[in-house]
Amino acid sequence: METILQMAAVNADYGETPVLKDINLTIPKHKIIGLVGESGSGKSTMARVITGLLQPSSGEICFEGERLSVRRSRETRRKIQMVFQNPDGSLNPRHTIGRTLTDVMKFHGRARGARANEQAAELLRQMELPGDSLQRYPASFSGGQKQRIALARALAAEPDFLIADEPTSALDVSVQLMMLDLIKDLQRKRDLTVLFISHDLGVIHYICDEVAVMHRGRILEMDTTENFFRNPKTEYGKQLLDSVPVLNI
Amino acid sequence: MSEMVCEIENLRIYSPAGDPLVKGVSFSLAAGETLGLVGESGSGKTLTLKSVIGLLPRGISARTQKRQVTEETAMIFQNPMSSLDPLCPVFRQLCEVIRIRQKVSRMEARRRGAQLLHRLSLPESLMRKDRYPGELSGGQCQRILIAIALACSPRLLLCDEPTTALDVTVQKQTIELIRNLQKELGFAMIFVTHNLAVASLLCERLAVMRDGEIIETGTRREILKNPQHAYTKKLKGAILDIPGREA
Repeated sequence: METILQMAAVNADYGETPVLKDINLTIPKHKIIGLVGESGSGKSTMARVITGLLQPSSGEICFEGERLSVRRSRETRRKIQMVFQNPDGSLNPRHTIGRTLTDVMKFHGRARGARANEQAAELLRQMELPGDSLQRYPASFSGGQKQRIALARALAAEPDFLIADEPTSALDVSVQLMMLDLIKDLQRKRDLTVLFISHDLGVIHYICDEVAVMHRGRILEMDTTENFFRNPKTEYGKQLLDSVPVLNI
Repeated sequence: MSEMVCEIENLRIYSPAGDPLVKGVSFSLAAGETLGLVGESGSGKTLTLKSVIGLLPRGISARTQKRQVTEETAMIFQNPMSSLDPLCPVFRQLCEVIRIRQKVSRMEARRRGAQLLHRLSLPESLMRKDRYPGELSGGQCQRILIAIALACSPRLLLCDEPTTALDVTVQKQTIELIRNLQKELGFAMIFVTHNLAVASLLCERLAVMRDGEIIETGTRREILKNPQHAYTKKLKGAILDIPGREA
């Protein structure tokens, strides 16, 4: 199986506090990989380190066979895109949706002018957003719609690798399902690799091909979704699985 | 028939601009009964709960045909950190409530406070004067708030998504704690949540809310086994369950 991203002995800290401890992780191409853990386990820091928002204090990260240095090329940055938990924080409230999307295309040299507008409209159509969305501002959309716009913004760069950091945990359950199906569908159509970060095991089970469990800055186990949910290898994995509230009929 | 602790008839809540937010909700609880109010954001479930204890935000007005709620009502909230005074040691906050509500001396309040800590499996070290809310985990804070609520010896406990902000492992412990306390102490409870599974673990009766109305209500079994309303079916269908895991 082809590998898209490899982390070897990666450590990261915020000042004195170590957050990632000796992370060794291999992410295969064209899969949805779940990263599950509780708050403070280091999931979001993983995303920050992979996108380059935070420099690891030691260790090596290889993306598509090349070692990522402190300064990354624009092309590398384009290939790794991210969707954050809270869409309000990731969309500029003073830019129309059209501008938000075309700016990304222009910056990464994918399209400009009328062509960029066309592509933006097409992206929004794929996200099942209303036709007049391009001219509107983020505030006029619902939470679920905004999160789909944030997804469109990430995809406007035509990435190979998408990091989704709790993309549905701010959404209502009935909207969540639609977002998950959309990510699943896009992953297939665009041959994306997705790192899907979530604390919700139900969500992870629904969308992921493989699961990595994080606890206190370490990756405790990684397995296919089927194996993990049938038989977690670690005590903590079992505890996590046992804690999911189930419908009591 | 046992005594009613809460009877609300035709509750209507209006925004400052006069828009209806809750449109004629009715429910009642006898002593020891548990009701789960389930709905998504904006359904009016939290407003309904807040109006029961009279904590509606300024400018929001409520009208009812009948509103009888026991004096002995306590409430716990979604975000434990923001419900505690960050500049006051947690044990002092607990003892203050015991002293005022149970009308006992400082010494006696400390003794009862220590018992409550023990009952909620909280470490004795929390009695120290240098234990502020910021030093506690979210789960510990929530248990302190449950202790504070119990210090009022409530006959009705109102819960506004008290486990939503907690990690799953802590959520499970907290749900079990609330369940055991409810069985042991026998208070009636209204539990607001967007999570049908959590509600089903804690409540005998469920009411599904949407757009300010209760669209379906019944026993847990009725609602979950045989939902009538399309929206209830949708909520149930949106639960991402994990095969092999049963209650």
